[in-house]
Amino acid sequence: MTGSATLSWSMPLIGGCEGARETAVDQERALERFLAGIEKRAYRIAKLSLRDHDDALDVVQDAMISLVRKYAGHPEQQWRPLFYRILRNRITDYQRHRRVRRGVIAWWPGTAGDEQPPDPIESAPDPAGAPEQELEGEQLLERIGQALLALSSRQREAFMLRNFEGLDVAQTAIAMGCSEGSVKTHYFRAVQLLQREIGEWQT
Amino acid sequence: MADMTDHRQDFERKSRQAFEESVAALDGETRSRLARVRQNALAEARRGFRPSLSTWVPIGAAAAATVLAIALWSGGPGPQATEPALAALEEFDIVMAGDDLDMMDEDPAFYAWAVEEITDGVG
Repeated sequence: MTGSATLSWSMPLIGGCEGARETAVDQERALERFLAGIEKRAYRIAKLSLRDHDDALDVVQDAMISLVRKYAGHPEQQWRPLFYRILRNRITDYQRHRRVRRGVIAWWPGTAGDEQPPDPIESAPDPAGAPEQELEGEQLLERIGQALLALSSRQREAFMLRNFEGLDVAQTAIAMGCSEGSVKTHYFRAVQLLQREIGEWQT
Repeated sequence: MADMTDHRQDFERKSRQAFEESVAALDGETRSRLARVRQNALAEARRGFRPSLSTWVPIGAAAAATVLAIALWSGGPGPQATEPALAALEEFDIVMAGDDLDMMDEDPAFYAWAVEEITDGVG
């Protein structure tokens, strides 16, 4: 092999390695931008589902780690529905774990009264010193949150993803792992039930 | 019927607005914790970071292109010399196939080995 062949052999690889490094850096920046844009909304949705501040932060972090580890290579436009799918799964895991834990505690003699479900009022941010507008928004959402608890989990998911997060039907179907027809049905039913529950907003 | 639709849309708008206001009104401590959560997630991913498809494809493509360049430069004296180049192109096609994207994300070590095999085959 001559020098020119050596040169032509080495240059593409060097260029390729540098290009790969730049691609990885760009990807990490894109991921950080995406996560920064979604974290507050994801926290709100998680807290509405779990009714606990620390648990909500935990599931958001878990979902972020899973997305970065497993799906960073997917097209960027898929990140949002994929992230919410992961978040939904984590929330379901937490809820299942809580049910099991309460069942064990209730069964274990002498401990039935020790563990109480988290108080949504206690876990809400301290309103002392908060502007009146902030408090009102919090109270409104708290009311919706209470009403959401009366829905099935699928109805609740469909409503939060479609209405709060603004995912379209196709994206919501990916996040929920169901058909688009199911998303529409769950969402329509959720809106009906919530309207009935929060009656004064109908006027 | 129109009234019901209006009520539904009004309800949807108000509930969305309440959610947006609650997001905007998140307290400073929660925002800070979320920022830390984000940084933890990115750091965790970096610790176990293996380059994803978007990193390996350029490497695989460069390796396959190199093999082809060498095979063509050498003048292709016979079937034996061109076979590795053709095999490398087939590997390249496999690497580029969209069907295997998920597998590539889950097993980049396999594709690193595959790239190595392509370049070693040129010998």
